[in-house]
Amino acid sequence: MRLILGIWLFYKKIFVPAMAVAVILTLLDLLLTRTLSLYITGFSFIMLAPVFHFILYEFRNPGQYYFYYNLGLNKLSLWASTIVISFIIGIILFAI
Amino acid sequence: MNRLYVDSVMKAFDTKQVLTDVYLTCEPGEIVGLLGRNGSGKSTLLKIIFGSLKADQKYIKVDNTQIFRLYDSSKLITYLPQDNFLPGHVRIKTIISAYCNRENAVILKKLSQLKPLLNRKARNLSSGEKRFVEILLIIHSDAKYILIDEPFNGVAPLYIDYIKQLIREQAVNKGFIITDHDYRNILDVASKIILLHDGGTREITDREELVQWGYVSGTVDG
Repeated sequence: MRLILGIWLFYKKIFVPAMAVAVILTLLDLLLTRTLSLYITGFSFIMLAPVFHFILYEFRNPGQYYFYYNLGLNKLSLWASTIVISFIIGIILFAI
Repeated sequence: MNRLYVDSVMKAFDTKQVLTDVYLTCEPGEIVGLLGRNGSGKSTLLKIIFGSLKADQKYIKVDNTQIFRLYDSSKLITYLPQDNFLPGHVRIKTIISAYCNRENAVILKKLSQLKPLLNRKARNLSSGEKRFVEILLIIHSDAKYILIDEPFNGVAPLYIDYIKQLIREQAVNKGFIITDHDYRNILDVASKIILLHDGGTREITDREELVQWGYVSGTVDG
């Protein structure tokens, strides 16, 4: 349970900026095409989440990895969680 | 046998050989004080034991489990690095719930020093407050062996004696390896002193040996 909480705390920091940019891109697409496409949101989110993972953790706060290491989450599992969770959220947005 | 066993650790950065001949053990109930000059490889050694830094060669065992990489040390070893590691976007009460079992989480949340911080996000704490929270979390984690790098750095003097007392209490069931430049506090809290010198470890049985090895000048007090 604490492992899941650890993954959620890690992912929460990525989710908010990645979703915000994905929504902005969707709105820009809406302005240009006059059609609302959640496909754009989902696709953007899948692409953006790993980018924000890199910026926020690898680049800006590499020291924060130790918080998650101590919870039993290594770098590989954190990268895997980012990709898998983002993919699931993206797929849900495709399906809507 | 129940112990953390560290042997044959070698590590070089470019052409500089930092660790060459490391041997140390730590048993539950023991507080090992790791001393050494700047750049002697104390933090490097702790990271290698934890598994977050790759060694050129190492043999590390916890009880009967050999530690090859970070994943192997999960739940056996926790490590407090020199720099703050709390995620800034998370409230302290949530961090405590993530780090500690239910029993220890209740203890921490009731502490008068932590109560005013519980609803604050880590990014809104001062460096000293963050350090204090980190030390409490690490000391109260479930791991059997706890590695602490510079616990007294940036912590208010008022809290240092409190931290030492907590370490002594928790060391009944856990093994601690602690390093800090404030060697007097290390000498005070440790039950065994190891000096890192020229890449190797030397067990210090008499405090005057620290003078002989050139770690301190004059008489060692404390």
